[in-house]
Amino acid sequence: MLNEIEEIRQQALEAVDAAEDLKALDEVRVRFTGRRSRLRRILGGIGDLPGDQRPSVGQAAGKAQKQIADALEGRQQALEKAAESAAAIDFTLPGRPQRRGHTHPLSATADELVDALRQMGFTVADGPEVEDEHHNFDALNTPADHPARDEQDTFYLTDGRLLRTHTSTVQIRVMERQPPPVRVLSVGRCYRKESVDATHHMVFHQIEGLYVDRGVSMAELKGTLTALGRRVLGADTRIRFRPHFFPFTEPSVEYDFSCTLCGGAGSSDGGRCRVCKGTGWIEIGGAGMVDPEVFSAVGYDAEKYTGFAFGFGIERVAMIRHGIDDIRLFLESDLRFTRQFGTG
Amino acid sequence: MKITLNWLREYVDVDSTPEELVHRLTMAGLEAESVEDLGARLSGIVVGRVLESAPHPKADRLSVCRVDVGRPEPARIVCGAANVAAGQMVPVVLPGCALPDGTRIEKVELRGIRSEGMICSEAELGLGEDDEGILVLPGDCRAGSPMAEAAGLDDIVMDFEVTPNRPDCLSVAGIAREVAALTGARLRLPVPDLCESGEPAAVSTGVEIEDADGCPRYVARILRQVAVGPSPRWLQDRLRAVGQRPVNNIVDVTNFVMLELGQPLHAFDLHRLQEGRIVVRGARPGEALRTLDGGDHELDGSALVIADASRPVALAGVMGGAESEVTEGTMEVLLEAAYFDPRRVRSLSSRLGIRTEASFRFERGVDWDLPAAASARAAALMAEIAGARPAPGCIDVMPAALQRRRIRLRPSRAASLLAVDVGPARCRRILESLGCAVSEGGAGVLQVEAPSFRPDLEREIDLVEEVGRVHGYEEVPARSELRGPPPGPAGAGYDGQRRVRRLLTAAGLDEAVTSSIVADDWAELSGPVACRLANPPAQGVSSLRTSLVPGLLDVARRNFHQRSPGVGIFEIGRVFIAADGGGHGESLRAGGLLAGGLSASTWRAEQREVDFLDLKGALDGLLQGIDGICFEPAEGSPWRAGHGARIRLGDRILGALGQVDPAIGARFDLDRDTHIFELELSELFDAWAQRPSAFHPLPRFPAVERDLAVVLDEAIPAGQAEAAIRSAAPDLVERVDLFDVYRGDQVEAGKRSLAFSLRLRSAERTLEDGDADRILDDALERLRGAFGARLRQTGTPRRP
Repeated sequence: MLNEIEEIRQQALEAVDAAEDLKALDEVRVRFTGRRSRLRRILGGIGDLPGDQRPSVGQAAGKAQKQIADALEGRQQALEKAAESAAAIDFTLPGRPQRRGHTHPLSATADELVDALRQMGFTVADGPEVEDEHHNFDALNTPADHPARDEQDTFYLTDGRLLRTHTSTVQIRVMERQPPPVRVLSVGRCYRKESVDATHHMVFHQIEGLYVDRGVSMAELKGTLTALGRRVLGADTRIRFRPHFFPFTEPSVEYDFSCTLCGGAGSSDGGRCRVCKGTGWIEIGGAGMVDPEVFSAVGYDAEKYTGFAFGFGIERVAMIRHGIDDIRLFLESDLRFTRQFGTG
Repeated sequence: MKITLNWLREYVDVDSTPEELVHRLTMAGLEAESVEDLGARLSGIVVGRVLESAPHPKADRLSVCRVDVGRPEPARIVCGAANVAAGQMVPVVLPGCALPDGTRIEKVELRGIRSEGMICSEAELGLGEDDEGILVLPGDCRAGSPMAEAAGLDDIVMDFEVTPNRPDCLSVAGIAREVAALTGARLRLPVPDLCESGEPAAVSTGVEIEDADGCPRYVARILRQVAVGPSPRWLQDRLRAVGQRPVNNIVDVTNFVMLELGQPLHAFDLHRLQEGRIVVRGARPGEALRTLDGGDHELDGSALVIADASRPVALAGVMGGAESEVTEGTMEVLLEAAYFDPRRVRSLSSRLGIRTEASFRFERGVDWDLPAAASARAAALMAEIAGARPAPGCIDVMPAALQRRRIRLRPSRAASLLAVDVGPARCRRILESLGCAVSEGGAGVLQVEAPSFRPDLEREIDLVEEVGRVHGYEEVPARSELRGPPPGPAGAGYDGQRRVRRLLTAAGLDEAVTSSIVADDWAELSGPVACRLANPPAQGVSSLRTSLVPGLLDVARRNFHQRSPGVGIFEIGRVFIAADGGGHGESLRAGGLLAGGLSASTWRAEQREVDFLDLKGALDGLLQGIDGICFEPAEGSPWRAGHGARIRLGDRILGALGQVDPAIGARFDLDRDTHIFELELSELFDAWAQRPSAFHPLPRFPAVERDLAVVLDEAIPAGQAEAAIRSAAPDLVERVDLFDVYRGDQVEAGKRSLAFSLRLRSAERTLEDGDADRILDDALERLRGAFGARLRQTGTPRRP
C-alpha cells in the first residue's frame, strides 16, 4: 500500500510538471485529486485497513495529498503568470490623450520669477497700463526736457496720457501710497513705439522689484538678483554689474548673467558660443539704487532711507531659457509654438 | 559715438589690445556697441609697383605686367585695364586672397599666359565708385605694404553707446580722458599753435547777446584769406572712418574739432552777415530761416537764433542758415563757438524735428569752458590746411559768470551705499583722475569741485556713482537677506489670474497672448468706445482693445490657416474702455474661444466638432461652487441670433458666452462654428470670495433614485424645468441631473423630451417609495401647470 502511494505521488508530481497549460493542469488535478482518484480511494479505505497499518498509510497518503496539492497550486500560479505575460501591454503605444491646455511661455516664466521674488518677501503690486507723464516720467526723474526721454519712444493717447513704457510706474504708485519700508514687485505689459523685429516688440512684458528700507546697499541688490538668476537660469549662475545710466537710479547698472550655454567660458562645441556671442555673459536688464530725486517726488527722506530697484523683460528671460530666437513669436499665439511648452 | 583707435592714441597711450580696451571701458559704463577693423576687408591685398607692362601676344585688350609685390620675385599679372603702365603703384590681390566682395583670386591662365594675381579698380576694392581702369596709388607707397595702410584704413573703429548723462564722452578727447582715468596713463590734449595776424577780430565783427539765459557764452573768431577747397587726405580719411562725409576744408575742420574736443562749431561767411556782426536773441514774430539742409522754418519767440544785424542766420545750437554758409567763394570766415542752454536747444530741435551732431551735444551739455580753446584749435587747423590768417584775438562774450559746481562727499556714505570699502583716499584719487579738484572739507567730508565738462556731477550721489564705477562693482558682495515689511496679499488679482489659467488649461484650452493695440475696426466690432493713440504704430491701428474677442478670433484664423484641426484658446489680459468725459477704465478679463475639431489627436479620441456645451463645460471649473449663477439670453453683436448668453449672478454680470455671429466669423476667415466667452475677472474674483464654504454633513439615510422624462415645448429652457422639479420638495430633492434630450418620432414636432435623474433624500429618515412617488407626482404637476408638460416616462433607474 505504501508503495502504491509513493507511486501515485511520483506520477502526480511528474504530471503536474508536464502540464503545459491551465486546461492540462485541470485534468491532472481531477486525475490525481478528484473524487474518483486512486489516492482518494486509498484515503477512503483506510478505515477498512488493519489497525496497525492505519497510521502509517494514513500519514503517507495525507502527506502525498498535500504535496500534490502544493505542486498543483505552484504550477497553477506559474501558468497564470505566463498567460498574463503573453498578453503583455505594448508600452510604446501612445497614451490616451487628455484635453489639457498649454500655458504660454511668458506666463510660465513670469510665474516662476514672481514665485522666486515672493519667496524673498516681495509683494505683488499693480498699476494701470495707461498712465500719465507724472508716473511714467516726471516722478522718475525724467522731466520733459531731459534727453533721457529720447531713449524711449512713447505711445501717447489722444488725451495726452500715455501707455507706460516700463513697470517702474508702479514704484511711484506704491511709494505715494505707503511709507517705507517697501518691498514690492510689479509685473505686466509695457509699450514702446519701436519698429517690430526679431528682438523688439511694441508690446512687451516687464518684471520689476523695489526694496526701500534703512541701510539698503548695492550688496542687497546683487544678492537679490543673484538669487533670482540662480532660480530661473540655473544654480551656477553668476552675475556681473556694468555701470550704466537710468534717470531714476543712481548708481545705475546693467546686469548680465553668466551664459546659460557655455557657463561663461565664451566658447562651446569648440567654437564661439552662439548664445552669448563669445562674451560669456548675457545681458538681462537694468538696476540701481533709487535716485534721491525719486524719493523726493514721493516724499521719502533720502538721508534716512535707501533702496534698490531692478527690472527686466520677461520675453528676454523666456527667450534665453527656451532658446527662442524671435520675440514676435510670443504675440502670434501660433499653437505650434505654444504647445511646445508645459501644461498646467 | 564713433572713434578710431589711432585717433584715440593721439591723446592717450593705449597699451592694451583693442578688445581689452573696449572691455575696460564697458565695465566703466562706456559700452562699445561695435568694434570694426577697417582694413579687415582689404586683408591680403598689397601695394604693387608695375615694373613692366607689355601687350598680351594673343589678346588686344590685355597687358602682361611684371609687378613688384615686395617679394624676391616679381609677380606676372595679366591685366585688362587700359590705364595700366610701368612705374605705377597699384593695389594687387595675390592668389589665395579675396576681394572685399568675397571673390577669391587664384592663379589662372588667360589666353595662354599664367596670371599670378589681379590688379584692382577702386570699385573692386569697395573704396569708391570708379570702375574705369585700375586704381593708381600715390607714388610714395611702398611695394608689398598692406593696401589697408595705403588706403588709410589700417585703423579700428569703435562705436560707443554714450548714455545721456555723459556728454563729455561725445568726443575723442573725452574718451581719452576716461581711458587715462582708468589706466593711469597721461592725457595729451592738442595745444593749438595759433599764429595770428592782421587787424584784431574786434575790428571786423561784434557780438551781442540779448538772451543771456539761452546763450551764456559766445566766442567769435575771424579768419581771413581762406582758400576753400577739399580737405587733405588725412582729414577726409578720419571723417570718413567715423561716418562723416567730407564737405570742404573749413566745414571739415569744424566737424573734426567737434569730434575731437566735443565743441560744436559753426563757420559763417563773414561777408554774408549784414554789418558783419552777430546778435544772439529770440526769434521775432514772422521771422523764418532756410537751413543748410534746404528746410524752411517759421520761427516763434521761443526759438533762440543767431542773427546778423537784421535777420536770423542760424538756429542756435541746431543748424546754420543756407544763406550765410561757407562756399567756395568765401574769403572771410566768422567762426562760432558757443555754449547754449541745453533745454533751449532741445526744445528748438524737437519742435522743428531737426537733430544734428551739434544739437545732440548741446542738449546734453557742452563744456562751457571749452569754446575759446576749441575755437583756437579750429583756427590753427584752418590756417594749416586752408591758408587762413586768423585775426588776433577773439570776441568772447560771457554774460553770466559760469562756475564750477562744488559738492560735498561723505566717503562713509559712498562706502555704505556701494557696500565696498572705499576710504577717503580712494575716493579722492578716483575723483581727481576724473578731473575733479578735491580738498578736505573737515569731519570726514571731501569738498569736490566738478570739472566744467561734467554737467552730470551735481549731487553727492553723482560722486558716489563715479567712485563706484571707476572702482568697479566686482567687489560688491551679494547679500540676499532682506528685512523690510512682511509680504502682503498679491495685488491685481494675481493669484486669481493664476487660478483662472490653471482651470482653463485643465479644461483643455491653450493660452494665447495678443497685442492690446488693435485695428480700429476690431475695436468698433466689440462695442464701447476705445481709447485712441495719438501716434499709432500704423494707419488704422490706433485703438486699445475693448475686448479680448477680436484678438482671439484672429488667433483662431491664423491657426486654421496653419491647418490646425481645432482651436481651443484663452487669454487673460486687460481691456481699456474710454470713459465719458475723459479718462478710461482698465479691466482684467479672461476670454476664450473654441472652434473646429474637438481633439488635436486622432488617437483614441472622440472626433467631432466642438459645440456650445463644450464651451460651457470649459467654464465649469471657474463657475463651480458659485451659488446663483444663471444664464440669460443675450442678443446683438457678436452673437449669432439666439446663441449668446450672459452669465448673471444676482444683479451683476460676470460675462457672456455663446456662438459668434457667422458674419463676424467670416471677417476672420472662420467658416466653422466659433464659440467664445469673456469674463470680467474682478466680478469672478468677487464671486469666488463670496463662495460659501460651509460643510454639509454627510448623509445618514439612504437616497432614493428616480428618473423622470417629460415632453415640453422646445422653447422651455431645461434650467426652468429643473427648477420646477426642485420646487416640488426643496428639502428632499438632493440632485437633479439632465441625462438626455430627445427629439424625434416619439414626440411631436416643436417639442422635445427632457430626461432627468433625481436623487431624493431626507436628513431625518429613510424615504419610502411612497414618498418618492408623491414628490414625482408633485413635480410633474408643477411642470404641467407651468409649461404644459406631458409625462413620457418615470422609473427607477437601473444604472449602477
